[in-house]
Amino acid sequence: MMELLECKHLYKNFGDKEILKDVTFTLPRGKIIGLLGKNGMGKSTLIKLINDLLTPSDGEILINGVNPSVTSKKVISYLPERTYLDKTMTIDQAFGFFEDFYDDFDRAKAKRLLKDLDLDENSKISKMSKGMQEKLQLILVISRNAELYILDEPLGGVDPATRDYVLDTILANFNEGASVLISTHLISDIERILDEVIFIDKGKIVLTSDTDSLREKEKVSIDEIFRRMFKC
Amino acid sequence: MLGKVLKYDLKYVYKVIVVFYILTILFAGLTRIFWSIENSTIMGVFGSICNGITICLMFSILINNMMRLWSRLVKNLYGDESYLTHTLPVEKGTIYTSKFLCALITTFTSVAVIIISIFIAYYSKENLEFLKASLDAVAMMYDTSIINFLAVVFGAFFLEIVVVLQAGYTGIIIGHKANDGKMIKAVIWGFILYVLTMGLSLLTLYISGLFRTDIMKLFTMSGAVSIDTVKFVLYLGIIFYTLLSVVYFAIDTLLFKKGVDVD
Repeated sequence: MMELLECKHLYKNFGDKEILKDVTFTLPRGKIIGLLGKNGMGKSTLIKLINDLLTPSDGEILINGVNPSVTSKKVISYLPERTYLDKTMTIDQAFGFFEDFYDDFDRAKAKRLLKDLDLDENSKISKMSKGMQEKLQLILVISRNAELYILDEPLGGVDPATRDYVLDTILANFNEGASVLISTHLISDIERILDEVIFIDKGKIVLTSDTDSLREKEKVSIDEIFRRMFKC
Repeated sequence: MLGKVLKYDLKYVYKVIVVFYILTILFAGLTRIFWSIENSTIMGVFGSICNGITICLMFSILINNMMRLWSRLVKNLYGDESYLTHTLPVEKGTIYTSKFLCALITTFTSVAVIIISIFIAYYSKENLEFLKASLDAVAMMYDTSIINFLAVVFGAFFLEIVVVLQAGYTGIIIGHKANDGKMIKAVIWGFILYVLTMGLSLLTLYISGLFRTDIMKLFTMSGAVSIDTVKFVLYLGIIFYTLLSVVYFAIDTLLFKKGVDVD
């Protein structure tokens, strides 16, 4: 079976600055994978490249065997760090927008998740707090029946209670059989849900492993391994 | 997908422009009402104030239309919203085509609203007769019908606005290829391209002057300008701006298809 995602000898430069260097890895199907690294080590750049938001300087990205394109965007559901919705829209209009463009968007699921937040569909996004906007984005992204969910720092800047909400929402709602790639530096919060980890440092992949065998080998938690590996 | 993308692009621009449309038509109506009240100095003054506001609003429509279209391109393709735009399952060429079509449609309706407002504010049987007589005379001089004459003038004006808009679009796209100072570079590139466009139009006219002595007279300032010369310049303008618009569209699409680097 074809790999869900393959990155082959991927490079990304901004002028003279080399952000990613010879990044090569594959993502399997049906797993939750953590893309772990300190801030500024290339996690978001890598994710942006996969999502066609950046153009690689060299190398290749294949999603279900094809380069980032309309076909790949149909199967990837991406949650960026930023709030990307048109703030003049209402929640209902945002649902309509996703329905217009994504055939796999499940409005009923989105409505159900919205109900948990006690939000009215007619609320304007601009009137919502930043935290609520981020939760709405998560609902939109997770309500797609995608093959790959890419979540860039979904726990960044949120309080511990919200972190639990985010993780529980992801776990309870992502499409069965799909993979989830989560980038973060808050490993202790996320460790419990990860099947595999990819460690990235200074633009290079330094470790890929499944979490259980890594824990067994090192006899410590992933968080501890991360702390030791990236000690300043 | 083009229809869906275009729907959201048009919504964004019209959301604000429509307010200007309504205000312009409203003040055009008020101008007409105040001026239609006879023997009242105060109503005449109100009429003049409303007339001034109407004219200002007409210019605002054109300026706001341009600014809104450029701002849409920047926000939607390079700002926070670009994280959604570029991850939609839509071809990059389709996204750009939608922006271009949106520019054509909103510019057309803006010019149409301006014409309607002029009609509302100043229409009277006498004015229409006067306009018709004037246009008849001009149309006869140009050896054409009133409709053709108006279509040529409107066409040249419309295309010029579209080309200015596209120079801005290309500037934004080139500017955002840079690694830093993207916005300032976009403005500089837009300005350079606009100046180049104007320079190229003068050069085209000069080259045609090498083959037509009456055109060369425009540069040497010798002798009166004939009707034939004006006609030639208008037609040349339409052909030139149409070609330039096609070239800008091709360059923008090509640059855009090569990929983006959003912050």
